[in-house]
Parts: sequence; C-alpha cells; structure tokens
Amino acid sequence: MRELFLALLAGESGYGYELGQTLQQEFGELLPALNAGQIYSTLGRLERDGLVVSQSVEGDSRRKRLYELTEEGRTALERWIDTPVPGARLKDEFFMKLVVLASARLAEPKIVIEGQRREYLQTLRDLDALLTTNGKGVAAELLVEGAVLHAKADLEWLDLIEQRLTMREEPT
Amino acid sequence: MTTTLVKLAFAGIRSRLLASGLTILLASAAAATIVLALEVGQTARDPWQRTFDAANGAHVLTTVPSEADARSIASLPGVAQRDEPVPSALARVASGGGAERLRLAGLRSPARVNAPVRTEGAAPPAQGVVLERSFADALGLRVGSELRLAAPGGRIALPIVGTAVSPAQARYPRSNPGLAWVPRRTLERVEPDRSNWAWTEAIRLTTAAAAPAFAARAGASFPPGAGDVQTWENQRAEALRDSQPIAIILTTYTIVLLIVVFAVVAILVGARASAQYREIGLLKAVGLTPRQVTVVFALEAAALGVISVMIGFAAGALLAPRLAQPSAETLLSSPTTAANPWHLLVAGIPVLLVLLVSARSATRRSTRFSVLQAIQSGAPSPAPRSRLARAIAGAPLPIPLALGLKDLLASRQRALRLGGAIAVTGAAVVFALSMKASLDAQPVGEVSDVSEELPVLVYTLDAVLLVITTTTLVAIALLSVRERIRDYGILKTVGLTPREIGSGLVGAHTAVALVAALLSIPIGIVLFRAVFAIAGGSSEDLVIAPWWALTLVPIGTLLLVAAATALPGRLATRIPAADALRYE
Amino acid sequence: MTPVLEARGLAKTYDTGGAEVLALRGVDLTIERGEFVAIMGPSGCGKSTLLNLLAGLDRPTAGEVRLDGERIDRLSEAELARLRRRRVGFVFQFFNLLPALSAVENVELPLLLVGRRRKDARRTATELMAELGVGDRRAAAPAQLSGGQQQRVALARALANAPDIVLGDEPTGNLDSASARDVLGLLRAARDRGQTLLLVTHDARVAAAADRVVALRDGLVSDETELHAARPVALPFGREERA
Repeated sequence: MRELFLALLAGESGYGYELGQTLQQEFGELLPALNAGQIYSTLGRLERDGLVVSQSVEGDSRRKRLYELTEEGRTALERWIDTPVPGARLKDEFFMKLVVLASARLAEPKIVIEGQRREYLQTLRDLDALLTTNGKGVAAELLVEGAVLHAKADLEWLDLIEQRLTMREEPT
Repeated sequence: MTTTLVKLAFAGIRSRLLASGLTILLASAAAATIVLALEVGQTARDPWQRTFDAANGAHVLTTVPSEADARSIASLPGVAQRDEPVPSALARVASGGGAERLRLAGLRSPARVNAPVRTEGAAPPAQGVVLERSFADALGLRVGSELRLAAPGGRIALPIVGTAVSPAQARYPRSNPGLAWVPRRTLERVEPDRSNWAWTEAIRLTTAAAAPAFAARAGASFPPGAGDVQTWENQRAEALRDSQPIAIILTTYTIVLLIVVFAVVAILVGARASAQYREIGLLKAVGLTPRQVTVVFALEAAALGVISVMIGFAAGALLAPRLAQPSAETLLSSPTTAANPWHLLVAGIPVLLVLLVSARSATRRSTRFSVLQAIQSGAPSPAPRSRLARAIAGAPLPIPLALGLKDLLASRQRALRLGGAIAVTGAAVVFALSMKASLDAQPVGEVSDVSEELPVLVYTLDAVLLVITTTTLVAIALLSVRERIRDYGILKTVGLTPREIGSGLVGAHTAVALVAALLSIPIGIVLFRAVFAIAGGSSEDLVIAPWWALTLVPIGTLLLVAAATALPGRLATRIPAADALRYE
Repeated sequence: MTPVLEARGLAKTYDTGGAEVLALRGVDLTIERGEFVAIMGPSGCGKSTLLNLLAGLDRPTAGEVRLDGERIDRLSEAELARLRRRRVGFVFQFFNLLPALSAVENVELPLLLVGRRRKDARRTATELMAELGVGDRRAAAPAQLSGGQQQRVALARALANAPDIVLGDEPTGNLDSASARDVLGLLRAARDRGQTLLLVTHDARVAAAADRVVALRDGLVSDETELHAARPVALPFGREERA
C-alpha cells in the first residue's frame, strides 16, 4: 500500500486528496475503500520514515499539503520495482476450513471437497461467461484469465487432496 | 558416419523381411533372365568345338560349281591339309509334303577334312544313305527305314543306314536344305547330269586365324554368286544361332521383369518411407541430411540387388544349358554351363540401376519435407488431387467403392506403378497366347522353324511372372491395409460396416487392375509383333490370339486381384474400431 | 421421456499379457435429451474406454448400454455401424479426418451413408461448414488445414445427420487455447440448438461448459455436479477500460 503512494509520487509531487482519488480510480475494489484518515495516516508514516516530505500550501479554500519523494524515497521505490512479489501462496481459505472441519470431525472431508468442487466448477463457468461478453479492456481480460487458471489449479488440487485422503483410508 | 548409414541400411532390411524377400525374388528373376539371354548362346560353344575337332573341321569351306574351281582354290598358299573336292546335288523327299529338300554329298572314300561325325549306325560312305541327325529327327526318319527321293534321276528309295552330325551344318529346317551322305555311285544315280553338281572343298590352314583372309582370296577366284565361302567362325556362328529366338524371348521377358521390379520396389520402398515418415523426421532432427536418408535407402536397395544378382546369375548359368538343347541336335555333346563372369556384371548393372533409381524416386518426395512437419503430423501430405480423383468424385459410384478408389488413388504413384506392373504382366500373357495361336496356325506336317522348347519357355516365364505378380499383389494389399487401419477405424465410427470397407478395398484394386488389364491387350499385341519381326518371322505367319482368348486376360486379372486383396481386406476390417483408432 | 443414452453397470477388463486391467468397474450413467454432460477425470481413469463403449466402438465385459431405449451392446459390428451413421456423431482429440477426402467430402460422408442424394448432401454439408466457420476451406485436404479448422470440420461431420447424441473425446485436447475456446463455443451453440452432447475431458474449463459434470476415478463414478447458469461476477475495477 505504502509503495503505491511512492509510485504515484515518482513523476511529480501531489496533494494527499488527489493521490487517494487516483488510487481509487486505478484499482477500485481491489483495494479496500480509502477514507481521508487512512490516506493521511499512511502519508504521515512515510514522512516519518523519511521517504517523503511535505509542505503546507495555501490552496483555494483550505490548507493542503504537497507531498514529494525524498532521495531515500526514490531508493525505496527502486528497490520495490526490482523486487518481485513473493510467489508462494500458502494461505488458502478452503484448506484451513477443511483441516479444521476434518480434525474436529465436524464434517465428512469428502463432502466438503465435493461441495468445493461444485463451487470451483461453477466459478469457471461464471468467469468464462464474463470473457464472452464484449467491452472489456485487456487488463480485465487478463485478470479473468488469471482467475480461470487459478480455479483450474484449485480443482486439480482438490483431486490431489481427495486422492491422498482415499489412499490414507485404504490399507495397501 | 558411413558405418552408421550402413548399419541403418542393414537394420532396415532385417526389419522388413517380407518386403526384402519379395524384392530379392523379383530382382533375381530379372537377373536370371538377363544371364540366360546372354548365356544361352554361349552354351553351345564348347560342344561345337568338340564336334569341329572330331570332324577335323575345315577352317575354310567353299562350295563352287566345278571341280576345277575347287582345285584352284586348294592350290592357294596357306593350305595345311586338304581333301579331294566332294560333289553334291539336290533332291526332294518324296514322302510327307514333298517340300523337304535334301543336299546329297557323294563321298568316294571317308573324308579327312570336314568329315561327318557318326552318331548312329554306319559311317559314310556306306551303302544306303547317312542322314544328318537334325534332318532325320525333324522328318521322323529312323535308321533302318527307307528314304524316298524324288530326284532328277527319278524316284529312288535308299535304306537309311546311319545318322551323323557336321560342324558345318546347322539345325534343320533353319538350315535348309538338309544334308545327307551317299556313296559317289548313288549320287550319279540321283543326279546324272554332272553339270548340276556343286563341288565342296574343305581346307585346313596352317593357322586358324588366317581363315578370313584366305576366304576372301578364295571368294575372289570365282564370279560372285557362283559359289559360297565359309570360315570356321561362320560355321560356329550359324550353329550358335539356333539359340537366337530363345535369346530374343528372354530379352523381352527381361524387360518385362525389370519394369515389374521397378514398379514394385518403388511401391515397397515408398510405403516404407511413408511408414517411417516420423522416424525419418527424427533421423533428420538428429542430424541426418535428406541426402543421407536417401543414401540409407539406396544402400538397402544396393545390398538387396547384390544378393539378387548373385542368385540370378547362379540360376541363369545353371538353366542356360537346358534351354540350349535344340542346338545339341547338331552337336556331339550337350550344351555346357558357360558361366561367364562378365555376364555377372552385365546382368548386375541394369538390375542394380533399376533398384537404385526406383528406391530414389520413391524416397525423394518423402525426404523432402521439414523436420517439424514429419514429427508433428506423422504422415506425409498426400499428393494434390488429380483430375481423375475429381472425376471419380463426380461419378455415381456406391460409397464404399468411391471411398476405396479415392484411397487408392490418393497415393497416385503407387496406383500407377501397380497398374503398370499388372499391365506388363497381362501383356506377357497376351504375348504367350498370340505365340500359341501363331504356332497352332502353322500347317500340320510342316516342320517348324521354332524349337519345341520355345513355347515351353514362354509358358514357364509367364507362369513365373504370374506367380510373382500375384505375390506382389498380396504383399502390396497387405501393406496398403496396414497403413489404413486407423482410417478403417474412422470409417467404422462414421458408420461403415466391415463388409462395406472390405468391399471398397477389393473393388478399388479390381477396378484399377481391370483398366490395366485392358491396356495390356494392345501392349501385348504390339510387343508380339515387334518380337516376331525381330526374330525374323514373316508377317503372313503372324497370328494374334483370338478375341475370346484375349478376354481371358481381363477376366483372369479380375479374379486374381479380387482373390489377392480379399484376405488382407478381411483381416484389416476385423480389428475392433477402438483398437484401430489407436493404431500408429 | 426415454434418456438418449443409458449405461448400467458398465465394466471393461483388458487382458494385457497376463495382468488384467480393470478399466471400468461398474459405471451407471444417464444422459437426457438436450443435456450437455462432461466426464472428467485424471488420465487412466477409464473415460476414453467409457466413451468407446457408449459409442459401440468396443464391447463391454459386463453391463448394458441403451441408445434411446434399445440395447446396443449385443449388436453385431455391421448393425452398430448402421446405427452410428444416423444416430451418433463423434469428435476425436486428433480430429481423425479421412486424409484421402477433401474437407467437404468428409462432412458429407455420413449424409451419403444414410442415403441422401449427392447434391442434397453436398448442399447440407456446405451450409453446415459455413455455420461452423470453415465454409471457405471446403475443397482443402485435411493436411492443409490448421488444428482448429480440422476440428471444426470434424464437428460438422459429427453434426451432419443431426444425430441423437454427439460424443467427444478430448475435443480441445490438441488445440491451442484460442481454437479451443472457439470449438467450445461451437459445441455450446450446438447444445443451445438442442443437440445432446457428451464430452470426455481432463480440462476443467471444458467441463465447466457442461450442464452436468461426472467425475470418474479408477473406473468408477466418484461424483456428479449439476452446474447452474453463470452467476454475475463483479470485476474489481470500477471503470471498464484501462490499458
């Protein structure tokens, strides 16, 4: 989140409120809704860490702060650019659910898996329907394709889990 | 790299034993006929030499109108040994058709040069008449029976007391008139008018090589046309000429067989190249150039060719004396195996050439593709659709037959080659039928210029050719079927019954064969006319086989092809569709 | 309403040189008219075997198959062939077009087999090919077509006689993703026109296009899922186009 602000300030300095608006427009619901308090507290922390500096400017009706990157800010930004996003995703909501339900014997693992499979298959259908309707930009299409592939991978994972479960149950 | 290519070639032969065996069979047959054609003339050489030596043969033999001419020739320089001139006269044989003419030589005492070699009974001069053996055999005259002559001196009956052969007399009736020996007195009775006598002077020279020069001088000593001069080489050539018709037949069949070899080997190699399309692609990916791939196939063809030529040479050399039997009638001993090593080369070159060119033409299209194409598709792209294929598409044929034809004609080269092989085989059968018709048309009782061996030879060659073609048909049908198993699976899925698929296969092959068989009739007739003319037959003796006999060719072809393709067809369509679809 | 295809206790055992392989161990399956069913499973689970048995391309070791109520597992090969030509269409993973025929000749073959006249068959085949987007490649030989084009031709051939059911064995398995999407769309369109479809696939995306997904594992049905119409999905973007 912090790095996004650094990236937005890379080209030119900007007002806090404008930065928040730009973020909202670019990413919409990918990010949680931002209110003014969150914006300014994030910018404040950046300033405290020495990555940005601000100065008060007399605006139209009220006082605004103009923010810009410091040298350290630029360095931090560059480091962020060069560092890939971590790949391993070891957090999965369904998996946690399955583990908990199975160990607490609250539900038959097979049933849970079948239900989840149903969900994933339906999801695939839903996502595919999205793709066939026109008027999407490239970014949207790519995002949906990514979700499709993730769903397919999840289905494969489900098969694997089911297989291992049955293996454990059947004595060889 | 060369060792790798050679190893690949031999591995290829081992992996396709049936096809290799068929190739060897065909190529050996072709090589054998070449060797036979070359050797059959030579097999009489040694026996003739023996006859010549036993007769104390004449290096130069002249026949002149008067005794004085004969003596003048005998006085020319270079003469090592001479005999007194022998008079002779012509007479007709009274029995039979009366068309047989005989030259009677009147001997006063046993000849010293060019003496007749006794083969049975008494030796000339003897009371009665001694016949030249081939003349006696031709007319069916035996020792102990009588020879009735219609001569200028009147009707004369002479007891036949013996037979003999002479190196200077070739087989009757090719050598016409025949020859017989009588005592001088008998000759005077047969032809009282001495001015009608011809005088023969037999001369041995100090060196045999001087014969042509001496013969030229002898020939100059009398007006042209008045007499005749023969060297010992002329005599030998005449004797060996008996094998000429056989040599012509053999040459004809050699050409026929080579055509079949070319067609069949091209089909076999082409089919292999297609089947191994993917493998070739992999070979190329590994680093073999297209030329090297062709070289591997060429090496295989060459290896098979070498084996075939050796087998063919052995077979031909062994069979040649048997074929040359007719010449034995005029010679002391049977024809011998000539087995001239040069003939191995002469037979080897066309056979190997045909094999190599055939292999190359078959693989050229298969090796000219991109590596990726081969590995991905696993099959070569079929030839572009011809007008013929489009024509078939338009014709109202039953669906299985239309499918079968499109399938067969998709590999256009193969269909053409198969048709060619069938057409050529059919032509050979037409040839044999016409030959039989011509022989049958000769008036009964007239002695034939053609030996009995000739028709037997032609029928045998035709039988061999038919066996070869039938085997080929079955082999190629099996091959085609194996390539199409997957297609048959698809057809079954779409809804063709096994019987429909099988009938399509048989029908298509039969249709192509029928066209080829119909074409073979004019080809066979042309072939027969050509060979007949080359063999020196007169056109009035030429008879083409009757139309009802000719219809045997297409009918026989139909039945043969239907039988040959029926079994492979059944085998293929038995495979369950699910397995067929998985077939590679 | 009789189901189009029905299988009861279907089993198939292969004997491969000593070891017996139980490819199918008792499968029950019902396909109603107009349904689009997908059979999913890992490789070796027996899905291709099942399809072959349902199409009559192979005989079951046990169990029965009914096409529109008639038993087909005891018919002779010839009877099965005649049945298939009119009532079953098949689409393969590797297209399996007949190489000696042109594209349109491939498509019109089933039509000719049921007795349609040549001109009539040719016309129907041409129209069908145009609908499926390969009308301009009628005269081409299969080898000259791309994978996607070949599969469209194969689909046209399968649909030619408006069969009771079209069976597909990994129909998109050998296609690039764009062609796969196109072919899947064509299959869905056929289903929308009332064609009954049964596909075998390992691609979940293809399976998700079906109304019902049957999961096969180790020769047995392990799960069945009914899928509903697509639910709306909200994209995280507020505005639609952003490059």
